[in-house]
Parts: sequence; structure tokens; C-alpha cells
Amino acid sequence: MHILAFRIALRDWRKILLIGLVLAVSSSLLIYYQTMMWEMSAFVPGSSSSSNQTLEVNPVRPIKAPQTRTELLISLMTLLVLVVALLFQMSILVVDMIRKQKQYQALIIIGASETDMELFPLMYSILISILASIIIAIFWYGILPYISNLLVMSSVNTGLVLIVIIFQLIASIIIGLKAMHVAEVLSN
Amino acid sequence: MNSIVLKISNCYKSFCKSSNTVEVLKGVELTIKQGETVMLLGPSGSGKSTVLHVVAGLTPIDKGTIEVCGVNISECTEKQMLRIRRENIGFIFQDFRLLKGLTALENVMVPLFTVGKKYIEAESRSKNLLKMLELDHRMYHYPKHLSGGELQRLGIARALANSPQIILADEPTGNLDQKLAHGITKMLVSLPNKTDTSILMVTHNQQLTQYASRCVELVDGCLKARESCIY
Repeated sequence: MHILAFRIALRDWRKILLIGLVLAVSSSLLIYYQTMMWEMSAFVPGSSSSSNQTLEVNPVRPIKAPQTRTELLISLMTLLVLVVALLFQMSILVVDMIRKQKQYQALIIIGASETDMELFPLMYSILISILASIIIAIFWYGILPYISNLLVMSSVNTGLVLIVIIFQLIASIIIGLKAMHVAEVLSN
Repeated sequence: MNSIVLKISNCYKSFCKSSNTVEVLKGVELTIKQGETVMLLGPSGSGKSTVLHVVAGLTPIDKGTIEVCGVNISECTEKQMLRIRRENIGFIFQDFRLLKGLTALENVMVPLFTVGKKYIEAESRSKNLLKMLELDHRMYHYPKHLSGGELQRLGIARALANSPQIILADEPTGNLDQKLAHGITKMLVSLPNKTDTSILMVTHNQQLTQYASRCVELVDGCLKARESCIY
């Protein structure tokens, strides 16, 4: 049954592309602002010469929790953007499940179990998350070196990117598993 | 000797709607043997679909017994009932209810996966069924590309996937014109000869009763045998 669920999801590629893009952009916003915040706090006022003032950048920038209120606020706001994107994903899946309710009810009647039914939105979610992860990776490791001046940043913390990717992957799986139940509650 | 596939005994079913109780089935009795085609007639709202739902275990009955292939489904758990539906009962819906994101072939394969068949086996069985129903040239087409008659033939193929003992057809010709309705009905009633499957078909179309081996009518919650199936 998972093969069929995968095929159904894949044939709806426009929906997956749209939600994947939204998720990738919101995740990238989080990565960008976090990185910018750390880069700014990493600047150390260096000794100035008679004619020039130079700034030394602390090359070692590990992941750190927000220290000041401003940093915490920025972190929370960018996280909120990602959460909103995930809610958007959930709403699209739930609406899709409600639209296809009769078809899925028919599957239950002909013998599909609850586990089988959960596969349909789950496959969508997994594909969305994989696509978003690929877009994030391509952007931050493939495109960033060419536009680092535009974004005023030289590199990105791999750990941060991984954390964001894993977070949105886990969230997508949870959304996929729960979408069917949410659709049932809303349609009743 | 034909075995009994379905036996409904003294079946009662009522629904409660905003403090009113509506008794839909009042002591329904019905026996269907292997290879029989029975048409269930009745006016709109008489409870014909309710009969199918209780036979399929989708709606519990208030009183009585229902035996499907010798198993009393009133005493079955949900898991047992799911297994009975998968292995012994096929369904045909009035509005087809096919998965639009799957091809015709894949739609027929769905019930086969529910019983754990491997992909190759499911594909082979589905192709044979589509060939039998003259849909082999459409097996890679999506439901949106099929005509009404083809959609219902696809629904029949899906219902036959797991070689059920009985097919429950809920107004299978309701969305088709008269010519197609007759064609689909003829195809349905020819199935017992090919597959030993019994058919219980709900319809309000009196003209189709000529094809049935037996007709029953739901009147005031009770099933009454029709003396003649000829319209």
C-alpha cells in the first residue's frame, strides 16, 4: 500500500513543490537570522591603527543559545515563521483529506486499515520535507558562496542547518500522521 | 449443493435523530446462496442501503443475527470484521469512489494490498480482471479519462479483486443512463457464472429486475419476496 500512497503523493507534485518551497524559505529565514545574530555578536573590536580601524572576526562560532532579550525575540520570531509554514502544510493536507473523504471512506469499506489510511498524508509530508531539505542544502551550500556579499555573511553553521532540517522533518512526519485524524474531527 | 453465503435473521435496526427514533429495519430475513443474484428494491429512504451497511458490518444491528460465509458478524470484533470485509465481501458504489490519483490498474490493486499480496501478484491479478471486464486497453488511464460505464466496470473489477463470496452493490447504475445501466447490470449478473460470486444489488430501477434470479422488496422495514422479477 505504501507504493500506491507514494505514487498518489508524487502525482500531486505541484502541491508538494509549493509547500516544500514555503517550508524551505521559512527554514532558511530562521537559519539566516540566527547566523546573522551570531556573526554580529562574534565581531570583536580590534586595535585600530593611526589611519584605519579594523574589526577582527572571531573565527570560532559554535551554536549558542540566545543570550540577550533581542536575540531571544529574533529567535522566537523566526521560529514562529517556521511554525506558521508547518501549519500551512497541515492545513493543505487536512483540506486535501476532507476533499477526498469519500474516496478514503471507500478504502476503509473495502478493507484498508487505519494504518493504511495514515500512509496517504504521511507520504505527502515526507516528500514535502525531503524536497524542503534538498532546497535548503542547495541554497546554503551551493548558492550561498556566490551571493555571500549580498547576504552579508560568509558561511553558515552546518549544525544549525542540520538541526533545522531534522526539526522540520520530524514535524512533517507528525503532521502526516495526524492529518487524517484532524480531517475526521473537522468533517464531523 | 450451493452453500449459504449470507443469512440475515430477524434483523432490527433503528436510528436516533434529535430525540426521534426511526426504526428502519424491522425483522428483516434474507438468505442468499452461492452464485445467486438478488435485487433489493424499495422506495427512496426505505433502508435499502442500511441493509448493505449492516451486512458489511459498517453499522451495528440492534437485534438479530447476520451470518456472512457462516460467521456471525454480530459477535465479531472490529479487526475480525475488517478481515471478513477484505476477504469475503466486495463493494460497488453508486458514485464509483475510485482514487483519482491512481490509474485504473492501480485502483484494482488496492484491495489486493490490504490482504498482503505482493506487487507482482497484485498487478497480474488486476490485469486479468481488467481483461475480463474489457478494460485492458484502459489500464494505465486515470479515472478522469474514463466514461461512466468504464468507471463502473472498474468499480466492479476492484470489487472482484479478492475473489469475494458476495458483492454488495449500492445502486451501481444510479449515475448511468438507461442503456449503460442495462449493460452494467448484465455484466454484473454474468459474474456468478464466471466467478461463483453472489450478488446483492440495491436498485430503485424496476426495469433491471429482469436480470435477477430473485427480487426482494423492502416495505415498512421488512423484506418481502417479489413474485416476479419481470418488469
